[in-house]
Amino acid sequence: MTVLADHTLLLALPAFAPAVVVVGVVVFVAMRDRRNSAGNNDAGNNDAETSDDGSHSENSAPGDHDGSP
Amino acid sequence: MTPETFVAAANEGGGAALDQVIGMSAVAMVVTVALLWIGYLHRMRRITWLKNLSERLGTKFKRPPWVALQVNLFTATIIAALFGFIWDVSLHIGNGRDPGPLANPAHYFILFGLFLLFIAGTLAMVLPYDKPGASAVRITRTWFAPVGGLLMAMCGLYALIGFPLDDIWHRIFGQDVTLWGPTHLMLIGGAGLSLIAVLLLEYEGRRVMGPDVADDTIILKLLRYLSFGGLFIGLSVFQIEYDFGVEQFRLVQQPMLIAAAAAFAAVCARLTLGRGAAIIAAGLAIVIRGAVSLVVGPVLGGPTSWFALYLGPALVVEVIALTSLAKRPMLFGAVAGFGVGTVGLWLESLWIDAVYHYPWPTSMWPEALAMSVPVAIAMGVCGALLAMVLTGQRLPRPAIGVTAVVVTVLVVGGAVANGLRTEVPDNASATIALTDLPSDEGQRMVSADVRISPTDLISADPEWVTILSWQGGVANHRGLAIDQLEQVGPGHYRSTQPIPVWGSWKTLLRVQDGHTMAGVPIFLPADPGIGAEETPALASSTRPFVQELTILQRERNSNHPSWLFSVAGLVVLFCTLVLIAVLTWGAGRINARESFTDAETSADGPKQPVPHG
Repeated sequence: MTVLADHTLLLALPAFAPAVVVVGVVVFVAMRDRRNSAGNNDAGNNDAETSDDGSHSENSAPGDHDGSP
Repeated sequence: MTPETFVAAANEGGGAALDQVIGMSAVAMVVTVALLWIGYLHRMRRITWLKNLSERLGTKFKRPPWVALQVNLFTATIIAALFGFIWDVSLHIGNGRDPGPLANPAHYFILFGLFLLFIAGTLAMVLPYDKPGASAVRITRTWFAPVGGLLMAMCGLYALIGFPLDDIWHRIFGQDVTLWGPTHLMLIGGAGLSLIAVLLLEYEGRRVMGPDVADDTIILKLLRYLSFGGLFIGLSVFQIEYDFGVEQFRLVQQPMLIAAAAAFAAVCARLTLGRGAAIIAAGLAIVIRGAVSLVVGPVLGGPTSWFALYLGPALVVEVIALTSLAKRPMLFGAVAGFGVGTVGLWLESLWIDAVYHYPWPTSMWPEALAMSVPVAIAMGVCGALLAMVLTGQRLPRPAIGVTAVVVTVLVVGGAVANGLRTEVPDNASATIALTDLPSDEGQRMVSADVRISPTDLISADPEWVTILSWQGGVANHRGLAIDQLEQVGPGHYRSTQPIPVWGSWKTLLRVQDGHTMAGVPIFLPADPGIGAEETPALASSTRPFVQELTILQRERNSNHPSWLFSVAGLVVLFCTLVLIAVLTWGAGRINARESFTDAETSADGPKQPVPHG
């Protein structure tokens, strides 16, 4: 039986494409937030500093900066 | 698309591969959309099931939700990947190369495991609504990710990038049927190093829980020891060829690899979890590796494999920790590393000599120690540094920590480079006489009489003079046979067991003696897939010694400019150094934020729970 020692690159792309897309979206969201906050005095930067106790408050606003992963 | 469809699609030729492309692309698209959609809904508070699930696990495991869910996912994923990896290696040893990327069932476990590793990391980043600890990384103004989650995702990404790079590599350079192909090292290294990420994530979670969290249940204690057992295994992934007895590199690398893994993991375990932790972690690693080897070998019928026990090195670390050195982590790491690289290795050699195909000869020890001791000292110091992060002790100045990591990378790199130096003797040949033995229908088994010229080519205490037969198909005696030849006179050896020279078996004479490493083909089947002709098993033949790679990795081609190989190697090296740098950065960040928050907010001593023991 002939076993080819070579196969198309297309086969490997699906193996990592989702990871790259997800990383791309996270980087995009982070960049967008930084761009937006540059004009807004960066006020939100420290608002989570006080909640280090692990409890999960329900009342933080679902702001539109809070994008997808 | 079911696994059966994939496997059925993977026969020879190009047409079937299209099915795989379509199937995998569809799966990839569904996974991408599902990940993004779930993440989006969770961050927008539109769904609660993810939060509820993770919080339930968090309560059960006394950890924040973004740690509890991850550690569970991670454990599942890494065991799946480990099993797939060992099984895959065993199938390649027994059967040879694959016709396609999904042609062998073990690949599903690897792909699933590596991908879930990435998902576990990103989930840890997406889950917390509130800032997960002082060291969390800001993504947006209302979204912070734990460092450990970020590192875990990076490890997963690094491993997954290995897939397309591997394919490009095969396309340019031909398939490298060895574990130590650069892109193969990415696939397994990413998974191996992710153990450091999960330890850091777990620590971040523990710190957020505050000083009152008690790891009082047996399960929780066991899990912490298990994570260090995982560290032993994760750092052992580079030894797998040696574990099967088909190493394509000099034997002297093996003690160095064992010393490196042992020094790092044992020192880190002992300093983090206290007395006995190094031995317990090594014991748990034995249980896991033993179970996987049992399933792959006796149960699934693949070639059998062994594994380093690490009990000797762990014992050395425990004994040294009884002194007051344990209070000075970096010095302890160095001294314990020295102990691991000397006495620890000697203890380990008792096990290696007892069960492995290739015991360590006395003549190898000077070079083995010269390579292992510096590596073990450097890795011991790095293990101590990680333990300081994991126990909330202030690290020395960043320059010292970074220097330690850089020096370790250089020392390990230097040792590996030395181990890769081999020489093929000029004008040396082997005259091999084969005598047919009674064989089953359609098979041909022979005994061999080997005369090496010049007769003084091999010293009195070589690493090996063997006849290796492999890739004969797992149905035929697991597709692997290793025969240590018996010396009957100067340069005169003979076989001690029947040697297969039929079907798809590839059989060759192997010699490694110091820097000399070479082989003589005995039987190689025709391989139209790579345009290779048969090397027939003649009743008597005299053939010259050649570089083993040309026999063991016939699939490699040389139709490429030599600079391209260097560039390709540098690309892989760059990715690897980036990953090590990111892990170092993450550990440093966690430790730096710790010192600041302790100084500012905590008046009642360290927030870190006291180590057991």
